[in-house]
Amino acid sequence: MEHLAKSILLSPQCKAGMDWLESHLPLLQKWHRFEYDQHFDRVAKWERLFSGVYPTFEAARQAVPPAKTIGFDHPQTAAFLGLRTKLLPSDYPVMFWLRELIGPTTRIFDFGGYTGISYRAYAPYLHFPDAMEWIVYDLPAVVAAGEQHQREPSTAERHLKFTSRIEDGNGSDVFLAAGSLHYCKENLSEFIHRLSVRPRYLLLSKLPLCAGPSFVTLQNMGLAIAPYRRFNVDEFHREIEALGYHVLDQWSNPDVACYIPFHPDHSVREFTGMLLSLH
Amino acid sequence: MILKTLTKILLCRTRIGTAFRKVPGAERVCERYTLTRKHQEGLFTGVFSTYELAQEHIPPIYRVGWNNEDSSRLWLHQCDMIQPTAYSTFFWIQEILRDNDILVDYGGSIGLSYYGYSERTALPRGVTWNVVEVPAVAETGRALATKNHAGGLKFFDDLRKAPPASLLVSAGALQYIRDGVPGFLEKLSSLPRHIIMNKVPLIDHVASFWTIQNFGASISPYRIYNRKEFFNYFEKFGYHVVDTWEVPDLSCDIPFHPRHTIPRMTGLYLRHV
Repeated sequence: MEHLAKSILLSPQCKAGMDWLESHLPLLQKWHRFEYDQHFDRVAKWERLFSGVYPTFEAARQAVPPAKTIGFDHPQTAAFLGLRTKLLPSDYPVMFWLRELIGPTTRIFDFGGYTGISYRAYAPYLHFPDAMEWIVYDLPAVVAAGEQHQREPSTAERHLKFTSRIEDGNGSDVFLAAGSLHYCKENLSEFIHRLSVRPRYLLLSKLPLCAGPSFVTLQNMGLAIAPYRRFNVDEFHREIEALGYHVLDQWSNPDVACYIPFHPDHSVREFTGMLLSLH
Repeated sequence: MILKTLTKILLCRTRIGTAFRKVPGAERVCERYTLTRKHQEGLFTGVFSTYELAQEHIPPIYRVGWNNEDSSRLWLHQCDMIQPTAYSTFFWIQEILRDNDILVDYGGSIGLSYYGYSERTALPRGVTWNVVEVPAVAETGRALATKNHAGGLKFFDDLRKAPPASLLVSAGALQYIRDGVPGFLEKLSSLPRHIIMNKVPLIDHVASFWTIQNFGASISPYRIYNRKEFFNYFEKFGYHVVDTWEVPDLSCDIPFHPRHTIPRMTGLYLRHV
């Protein structure tokens, strides 16, 4: 019953209904905003809460209360997502395309791959060739946590390597970014420009694209708060086309949404995934 | 729009819906509204114990089921259109399918999965993709396949006529079939080693039942399966579950019956032991 009530309250329809009601009852909205802000500040376990709309990454960063940890580059936030084994609906398009792209000596550069969660979730299903490489690029604290995991005998995976140097992505076959680009201050193109040999394919999943102007919100994950970018869809396409890539496939991720209370126009009902190839 | 959404939530997902069912004529008015809408993405009405009872509630003037020209032409101009969870199906087809394999696509429309899949990756050599559909849809599909030179794509209007296959796929069709589960495996000349089903409406706390769906081009009885009964049927034939996934973008909201509403559908891959 509690689960049902929660799924109703968190449903997009209920949120849309609440937004409409509050647009007619300002006092209700004031009370709700007060309660939400309190909850946003106090949340301590893993959550996916969003708050505020900011024009820039820096403005969002400055809005984080001083006592809070920002981002993932800290020992306490570097491994708190743990190891994931259950596949999510958004994993299947990525796995489908990886199976198409992986050859005997393929190099996958897993941008923001955390402690190797995608590698570990996909490994039982994808039969990785011996000479394949899976390089996780992430922040130093996350890389340290990832290597720590790997040192334990039960998780000693032979394809998996960690790095904090973007240059290690030079000449990779597949640049995989599954839900990481929106945490970065820099655009995707700034990272790709730093590679002397561009990856043949970009495999992007869980992109928060929107029709309106790009902006930044804040995500409270429990142990830390992170600025979280939302990209204008046309700008995003122009940027990747300017890099020399064209879209081979595109899909939606209906299991991933971003609802920002009190900003119904800035919420996204579903994220986007795409596969791009170098011309 | 928002009021409509709020009403839908109240009637389909809360006990208020159950209470309103007792108001004389309320469900009847809602049923009439549901059955007369056009261009819907899927409206549901009523809970029935049998297919016949559900069918009796559809007025004769509305065309029933999928065996008509409107239904057969629904996706004609977007035959490679796929829904997000089609990738789960494609992922497992990709894993299983080998040269010269025979695939049966039960309720595969005009070949939607065939076009969606083969646009993304090459089919192994010699594969035949056999769609089983109602005659009107099979006829449209056959004409389209000829136009597209889709040599490996065949159509049948009876599951009994389909060739013995190593892989059976059914994406969002079993719920429209009168004797789907139980019933469809009994019609096959041999059991396939692999079965992939997507967009299956499964429910946990009530027995399997029928409702009515208005899909715009068609109004049809629609089966919602009790999860345990559904799995037991396949287990009885020697299948075990390899993978299941959620279909988050498809739900089934039945006004006045919140206990019979399902927030998301299910996909499954079963392998014969």
